[in-house]
Amino acid sequence: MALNLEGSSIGFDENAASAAVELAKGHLVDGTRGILTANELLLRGRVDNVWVGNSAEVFKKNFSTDIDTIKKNLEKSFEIYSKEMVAISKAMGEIDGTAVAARN
Amino acid sequence: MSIRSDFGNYASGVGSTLEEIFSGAASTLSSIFNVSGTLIGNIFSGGFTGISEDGLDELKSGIEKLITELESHIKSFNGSQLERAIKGPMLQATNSYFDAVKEYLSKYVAGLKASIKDIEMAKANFSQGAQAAASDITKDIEDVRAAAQNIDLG
Repeated sequence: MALNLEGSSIGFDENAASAAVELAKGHLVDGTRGILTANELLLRGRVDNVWVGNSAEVFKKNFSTDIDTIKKNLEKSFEIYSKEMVAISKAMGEIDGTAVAARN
Repeated sequence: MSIRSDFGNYASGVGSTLEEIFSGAASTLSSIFNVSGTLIGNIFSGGFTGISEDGLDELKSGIEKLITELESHIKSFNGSQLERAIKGPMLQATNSYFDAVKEYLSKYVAGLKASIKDIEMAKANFSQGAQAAASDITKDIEDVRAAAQNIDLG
């Protein structure tokens, strides 16, 4: 006999959670990093062709500092998110394992 | 104790645990993104000395390319595409994370757009400066001519 308690389902899928984390890493972190890196290289090349002197060097340094900051913060934020997903998975797993048991 | 009330106790317990997880992650993400937000400043703090008017156009188009690509990338962020795979707290955490990254990168794009205005201003000043210089040169030539006409050759 199937037992159905309305509103009490807590089903979760650890594999799906891993897929979500992988998607976030690939799309948000790696994808963004790829765009930033490619454009930084392109822009530095253009600047080297059209701009000389100290102002150009300051621009390149400022631009690279911003890009590096963003990349580092995306990595840091991803660590927080992935730890959050593991913690949620653990919490859900605990209640799933405790509340649902096979009949004797 | 009924099955429902037994389950209710567990659900209540995990609920408060999840709230702690959410608030902890949100607080840390906020500190990472807010602190860095203030670090992203004026990329043209060194001025525009040493670049030509055409060079400014090159610079502008390079930054515009980055803006276009980032905006397109940000638009493609969509945690809800995972709705079939994950539910409840995991989906909530994922959507919050995607939104936080989206907001952070949008701030950077806004900063880049402001830098485009700086380039346009530099270009306007460049044109005005060139016109002023041309005007000065014309005036100098006229002065030289006038002076030459006044020279008494005896």
